[in-house]
Amino acid sequence: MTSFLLRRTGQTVVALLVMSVLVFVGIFMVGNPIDILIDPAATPLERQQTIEAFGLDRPVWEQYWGFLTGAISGDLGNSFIYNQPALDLILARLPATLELAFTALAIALVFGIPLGIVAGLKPRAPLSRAIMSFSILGFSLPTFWIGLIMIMAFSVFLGWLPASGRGETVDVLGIPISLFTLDGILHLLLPALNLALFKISLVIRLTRAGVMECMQMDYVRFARAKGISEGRIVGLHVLKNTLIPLITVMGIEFGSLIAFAVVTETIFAWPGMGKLIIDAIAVLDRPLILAYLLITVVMFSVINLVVDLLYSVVDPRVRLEDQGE
Amino acid sequence: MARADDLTLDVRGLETRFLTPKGPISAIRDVSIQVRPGEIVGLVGESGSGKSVTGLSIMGLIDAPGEVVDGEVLLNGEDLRQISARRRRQLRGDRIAMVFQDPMMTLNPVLRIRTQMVEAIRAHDPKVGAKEALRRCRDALAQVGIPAPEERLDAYPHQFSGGMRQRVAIATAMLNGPDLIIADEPTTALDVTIQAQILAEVQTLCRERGTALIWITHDLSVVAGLAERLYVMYGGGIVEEGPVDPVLDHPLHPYTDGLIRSVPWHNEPGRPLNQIPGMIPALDRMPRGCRFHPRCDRADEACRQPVALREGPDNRRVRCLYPLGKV
Repeated sequence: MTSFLLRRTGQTVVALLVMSVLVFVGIFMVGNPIDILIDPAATPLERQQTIEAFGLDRPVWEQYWGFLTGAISGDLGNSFIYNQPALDLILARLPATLELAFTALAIALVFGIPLGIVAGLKPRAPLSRAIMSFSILGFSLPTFWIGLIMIMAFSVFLGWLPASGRGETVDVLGIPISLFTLDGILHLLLPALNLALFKISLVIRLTRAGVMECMQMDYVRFARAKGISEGRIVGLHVLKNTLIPLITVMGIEFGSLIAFAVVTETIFAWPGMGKLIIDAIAVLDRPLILAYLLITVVMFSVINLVVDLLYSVVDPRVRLEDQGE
Repeated sequence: MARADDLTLDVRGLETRFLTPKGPISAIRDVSIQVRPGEIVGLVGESGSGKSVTGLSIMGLIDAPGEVVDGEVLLNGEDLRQISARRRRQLRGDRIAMVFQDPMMTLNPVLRIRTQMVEAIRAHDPKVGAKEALRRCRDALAQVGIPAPEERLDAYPHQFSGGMRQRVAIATAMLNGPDLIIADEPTTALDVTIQAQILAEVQTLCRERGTALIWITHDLSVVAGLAERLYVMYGGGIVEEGPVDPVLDHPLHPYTDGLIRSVPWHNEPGRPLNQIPGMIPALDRMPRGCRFHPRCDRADEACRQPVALREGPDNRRVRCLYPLGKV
């Protein structure tokens, strides 16, 4: 277990290094941030001063080295635009995005798994067909369009739910959270549902396929021969086997949930980091982009780690020591 | 034959159909099997003869698109086809149990052995305490020859070999002391040495507890040493039945004869092996009348009409117009 964790940490560090080099060189090639940042009317002297202030006059490897030494001590540099530490800017927005993503994930699982089980147990029943039709819609309709329609329906016409912002938040351990106030939950509902829609469809399909496959297995027949009730067969024997592929896919998908959040955050004016990064890319705010991507890499590594741990809990055949090669 | 209330199992005229794109097809038809308390009965036939479908039909475990459409399945005089699903579930695993062919597949890979065994007890008697249930599981495992049963209860199926898994399955089937166990080729996937051990253990256990056993197999040598009576299936129907030794020594039905001759031990080395000409027909292309007649050298026009089971000597019965011995 310890060696497994150590190896994972090592892999994460390597991924961070490779990614930072790629992004650094990539942004260097895309364009000169000074051209975007500085007032075109500035004198050559002012221009030169700004370039030197940001260290952009030095060769790229020297700039990278400066970034790297800073990063090791926890300083990812100041944002060109905001002139504040990039890491602080990201971390200030991170809770909102994570809250949105986790709520969407929870919605996807809470609705997707039961619906998938129903559709998998009686694939030909009208209800199952209705569920599958819904999942096709969830798959095919673009997220941003659904979001707009939801705003139209629930905020504009019905006036039930707010269309933008985060609402009232409560600080938990210094982190603002919407989930603990009614106003916050109301604000969270639409964007989370919007973000979850695609994932609900995915969970339904995965669960349905898993249930249909497992119900054919000999161990289900054997359980029936033992006189076990259908409820226990489905709820324990089948569901636990179905969870294995579900955890794998949802682990990967949780990452994309954070990425997709950019669109949803934009539509619902959700103050997450999605909006921040889009703006940063537009003005080549290198420290901010780097900080965002580094945090994303760390998050993906943590998610994968959690998935592997869950996997070993659900599937006794998996031993962590054997993985990661 | 004995009266129904003396029998553990009395199956009469069982027919199971499968809905296929070509229309309904009977996988088994007019199958009647009688098992006395504590009796070990062999059910023999080639692949596709309907042995497994018969076992599953008796258990009521035929899944859609299959369906038992006709016949009676009397377990201790109670017709399993007439009772409620709830009552059927109560009887399954309690009075009648089943063991399947592939030991790698019958145990749930993600649940501990203890979970899978204890639930078999709790499903029928929720009042049994955890300690008592575990003790019974441990004893059951010990009885089928699993070393260190206490520790093995906490193991998962993948930590067992195929033979050990099948022992676990048999121990699970025996947990509630059923009156009848249907064993569907449980040793086919195992080495002959393991097979011999398991056969001996099952035989002993059934004798000790008075459990009746239907042993489904394609292997005549297995039933020869295990069973008291024998049913031979071909093309979804019983073609011959009777006590093991007379049936194997002097088969009445040409198919039984062919089956016995196909076992290589009857052959001199170097000479071509015996075989039955032709193949078992597909279920949707079963010939009319005697289903074996296209492969039979004794058949004539009369065999194209339905053939009834005829009484023979020594409590034997055969479904043939021109049996090999005297009927």
